[in-house]
Amino acid sequence: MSERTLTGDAAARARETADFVRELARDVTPVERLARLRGGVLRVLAPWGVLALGALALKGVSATFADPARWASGFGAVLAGLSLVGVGGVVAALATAVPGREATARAASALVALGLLVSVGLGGFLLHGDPATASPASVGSDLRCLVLAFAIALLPMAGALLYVARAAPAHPAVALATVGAGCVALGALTAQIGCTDPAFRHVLVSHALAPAIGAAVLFAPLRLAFRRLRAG
Amino acid sequence: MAAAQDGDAKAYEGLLQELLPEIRSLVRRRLPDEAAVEDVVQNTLLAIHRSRHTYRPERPFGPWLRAVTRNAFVDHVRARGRRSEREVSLEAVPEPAGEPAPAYEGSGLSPELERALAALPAAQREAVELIQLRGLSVAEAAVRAGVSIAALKVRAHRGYRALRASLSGGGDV
Repeated sequence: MSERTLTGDAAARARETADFVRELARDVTPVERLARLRGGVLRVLAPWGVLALGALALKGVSATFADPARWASGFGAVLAGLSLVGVGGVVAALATAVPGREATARAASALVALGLLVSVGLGGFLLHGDPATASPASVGSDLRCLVLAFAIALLPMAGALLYVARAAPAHPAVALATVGAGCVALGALTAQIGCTDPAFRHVLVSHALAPAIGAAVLFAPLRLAFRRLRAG
Repeated sequence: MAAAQDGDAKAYEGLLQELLPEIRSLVRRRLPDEAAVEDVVQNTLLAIHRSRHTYRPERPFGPWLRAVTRNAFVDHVRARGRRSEREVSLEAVPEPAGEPAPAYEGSGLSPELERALAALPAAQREAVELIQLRGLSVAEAAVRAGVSIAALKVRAHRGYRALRASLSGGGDV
């Protein structure tokens, strides 16, 4: 193909793009701006705060956390890690969905990774040798706390999902997994403050690992809901 | 962009024209294939159009534009990968007998979606079918439909919007 033909092709394609711009401009209609990222995060965290306060008012604070000395133990590490995963996960999920907020998304994702390291790694390490965790584990208690964590996660999850679906996520799968992990972390955190079962397996599985379980279990339903919201 | 978000077509056209050189330069930096550059540029313009509501006027415009361009480029690479997976040799494709059936017939689509597709204007339905159901590239679909790539993209875009409106029970999206 000669250089002249190539130049001619390029010119034709450029004219086509110019036509396309005119078509898009003709198609433009007023749009409602997506809420600010900060506002979106607050709209997710505020309902969780209300739910958490309500749950704690009903269940009260567990004996573990009533003693300030226990906050510096593995229990405290799990709690701190879950806070990082919860807040970091919500910010990361929402920021991932907004073009131009990649730096915020990366920073928040780093918080999620750090939170998992603190809750599962450090928490697990400290709890392993802690005599307070020696009580026998019960499957019923494990399930109760997981169900409570998921139940508390539902409302903030709906808010996060609505925001992500309205935005323009480049990687919807990542955003949805982070929504699941972050919101379940918030639920697990609330459940842990009122939890009366100090068994090692229970704290590790039903609290520290709850965000990972949430991301895995909730991914398919979140993806379905995301697709429906995008289609509507 | 703020004016475009309020529906000002003139401001929007001016903005897109102004952005074209920067978008082209961003795309060229990532894409060695000169023939595909204009395709990605048009996809980026369409992505800007679809995600214009995500821009906040109090934030800088540059990072937003670069992110949209990057995402459009990644979409292009993914779509190219999917197409090359689906490609089959021409000898393996049997000659069609008579008029081909609409792509959505017997394609496993829900009855609602089939009805919504059937209700689209012919040009929009053809664009949606060629790209989404027959899996052609935009360029291939444009050749098949006998229109320019730009025109095909606009038809497909309008078709998707009409489908969404129809499936959500009316109203524009």
